[in-house]
Amino acid sequence: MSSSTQKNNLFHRFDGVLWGNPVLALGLGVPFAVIATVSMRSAAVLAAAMLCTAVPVFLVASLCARYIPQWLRAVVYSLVSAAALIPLRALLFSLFPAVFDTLGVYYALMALNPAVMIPALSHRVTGEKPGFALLNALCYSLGFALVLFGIALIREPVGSGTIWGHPVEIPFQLAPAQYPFFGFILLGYFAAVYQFLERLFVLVARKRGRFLKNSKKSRREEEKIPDSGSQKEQKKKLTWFKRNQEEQAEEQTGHNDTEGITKKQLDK
Amino acid sequence: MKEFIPISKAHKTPKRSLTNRKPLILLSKDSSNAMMGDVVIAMLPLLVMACYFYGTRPLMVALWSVAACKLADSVCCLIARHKLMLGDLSPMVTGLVIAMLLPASVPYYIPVAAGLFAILVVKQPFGGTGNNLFNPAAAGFAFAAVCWPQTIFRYPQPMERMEAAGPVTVRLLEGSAYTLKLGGIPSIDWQELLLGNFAGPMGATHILVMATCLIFLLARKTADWRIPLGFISVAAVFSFFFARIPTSPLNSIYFELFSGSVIFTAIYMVTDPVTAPKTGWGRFVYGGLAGLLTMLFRYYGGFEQGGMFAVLVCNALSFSLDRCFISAKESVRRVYGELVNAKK
Amino acid sequence: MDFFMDFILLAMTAITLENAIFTRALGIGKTVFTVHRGRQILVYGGMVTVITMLSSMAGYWMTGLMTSLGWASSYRSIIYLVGMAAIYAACHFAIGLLPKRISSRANGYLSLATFNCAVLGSVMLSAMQSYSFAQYMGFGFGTGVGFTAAYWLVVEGHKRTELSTLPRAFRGFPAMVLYIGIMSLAFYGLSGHQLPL
Repeated sequence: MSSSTQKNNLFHRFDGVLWGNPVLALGLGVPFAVIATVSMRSAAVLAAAMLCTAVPVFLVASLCARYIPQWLRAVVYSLVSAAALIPLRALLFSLFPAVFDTLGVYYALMALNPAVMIPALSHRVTGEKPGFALLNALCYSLGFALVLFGIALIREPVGSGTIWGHPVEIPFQLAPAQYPFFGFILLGYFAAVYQFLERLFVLVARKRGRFLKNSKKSRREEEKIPDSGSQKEQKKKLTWFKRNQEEQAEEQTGHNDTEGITKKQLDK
Repeated sequence: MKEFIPISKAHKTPKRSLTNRKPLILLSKDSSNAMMGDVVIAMLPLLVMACYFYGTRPLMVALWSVAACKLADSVCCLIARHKLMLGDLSPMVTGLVIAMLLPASVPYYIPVAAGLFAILVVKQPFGGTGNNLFNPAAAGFAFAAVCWPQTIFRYPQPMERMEAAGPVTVRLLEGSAYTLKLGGIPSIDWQELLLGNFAGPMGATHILVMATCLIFLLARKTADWRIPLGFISVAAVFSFFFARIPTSPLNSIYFELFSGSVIFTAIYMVTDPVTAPKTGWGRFVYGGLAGLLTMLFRYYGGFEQGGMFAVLVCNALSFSLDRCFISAKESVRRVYGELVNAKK
Repeated sequence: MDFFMDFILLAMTAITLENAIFTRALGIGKTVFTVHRGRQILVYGGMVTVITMLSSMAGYWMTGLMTSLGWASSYRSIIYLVGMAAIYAACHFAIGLLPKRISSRANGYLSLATFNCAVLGSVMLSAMQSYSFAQYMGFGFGTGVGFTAAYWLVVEGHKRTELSTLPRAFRGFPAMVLYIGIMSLAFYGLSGHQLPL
């Protein structure tokens, strides 16, 4: 594996935090981001619930999915998720008793959180090693928490004039910030900003890619590959040349290892 | 008699779909701006009447609203790197419609907030002028109604002048729509009701003036006659058969249509060419549906006025109505063509 | 007659005032952005309605049982999920008896239609409000029908936005969420107050 692909894998290992965020990029967990983010405490409770459900479900998916029939997986994951929520509720109730009145049924609905169920049912988690599944669970939970806290950080002070239950001085207050439509609009803007930043990142990455292309071009010039008309033809020739390289190297060395052999060396 | 297309040629006829039609608002820069100009002209008499009844304050409310809409629109155009069209009248229309629905005593931050919501949430994210899915003015007023219901639905009495600057010290009253909601009969005679000489939205109570403006808009072909006709007729029929006040059915129609902002909604909000359907029958059904939903929102909704919410729901349905009627028309044409062929 | 009136009243409430998507954001997931055709929407919505009604029936019985046994409310969600799992298994086997062409498609939607926040949410909200059997069924039916209607509206809005030139940052998911938010504002006009969660 070359160093660039290693780097890619490392980068994509943390999918779910920013890149591939479950709420903003994949559109999962919208009910919780919209309805239940009326305060920072409720966002914290839901983030904890997400972590406590994602970890066991993803581990079960990575370890046991091949033993569970396809049609039964959703059942198993939802029951595991619901079972994980029961002890957590007992713990969180002692810390934030009033929050559960605010959350209503949404705490229990975390058992069917699409941000956990959909990735668990997809190939993203099924068949992964347990370590990577755990990392996925942590990344998705962190990404989910970031969005929830971001929305709650706006809704709570604007809606009720408090942050984490402590009163703050706000120039204006808008009680309907606690209503669902406000949550939807805020989430829509968050997703738009996310999309804008994602596109900016891709553009910057492409420009860096162009720089790498130039260095590849200079290497090609060294290897004296004839420069003919279209890019497609060039690519075809390069592919042919690489295949030819490999075949020749096999004949010479008796095994398939052409790393570092240039055309000059083959000519020799 | 119309020539029906035989089945052999049907497949050669280009399918009429919404993508083939140019949206009405985008026919040409001149025609879209001319339409907006007509709507602005049609609202100026309402502003004049509001200033006559309430002093200079309605003018300031309208100016704040229009300024907020124009500024938000311009900033969004700059951010999106579009050509800044200072002569674009659509934000002005949005601002004026919002202002006309508000009471003259409203604090200035409310029309500003409503205008900003209309442009930043409803109009620009969906592509700007000519592309919005929802009526920005209806959404802006709905936002203001939800956020400040105590302020939006309390009105000063006409002829109690208010200054443009300084606090509002006049007595504020509940509107006649609120009286109807409680099951009472407003104590307003028919002359006052027609002239708008009662507590209500500053631009939505002058029935005679609005009727004249409607004739102007219809003559200029800025508004399609089918939409207000469908709206008013269904609203009238509904209030005739389901009167909620202890009076004759005709009186019920009279009070239900002329109190609140029902007529204003029928003339200025539902007829928005961008959000209304483009087919003839679609417009008629759209108007009727908007009328029905307005009355349902007024009767059973949480607010005394429901026109703006009904308009938003109908905006979501206008595209489906167009598709429905286009496909129905094409299938009727195809079936008739087959029948004609079979007869031959 | 009382049963019928309660059923109709709660059904209308669940379709309009307490619409699953527009007032409680239940059921908004990946399917909203992948299922686009009219028939698919009807099939998916129909399955959600059937599953919700069956779950409501089971939920009514299970709530009564848990109340009589004095179980804490924190165990309710897992008990309801067990009931939903049983209904899911029964539906899976029932669909398996259909021709393969139909069963393969239906099974694709069955897990999404069953393990859906709207279904569990409907059962839990009915339990919270201590509804009668007729009210449970009416609320379940209304949740399913209201979900289907709202889903169809969202898909129609998505098709409409495809005809417009949206700013790049708002294309796709952001525009759809804003669309749902504006519809939520419109539906708020019906209730006029914040609904209990």
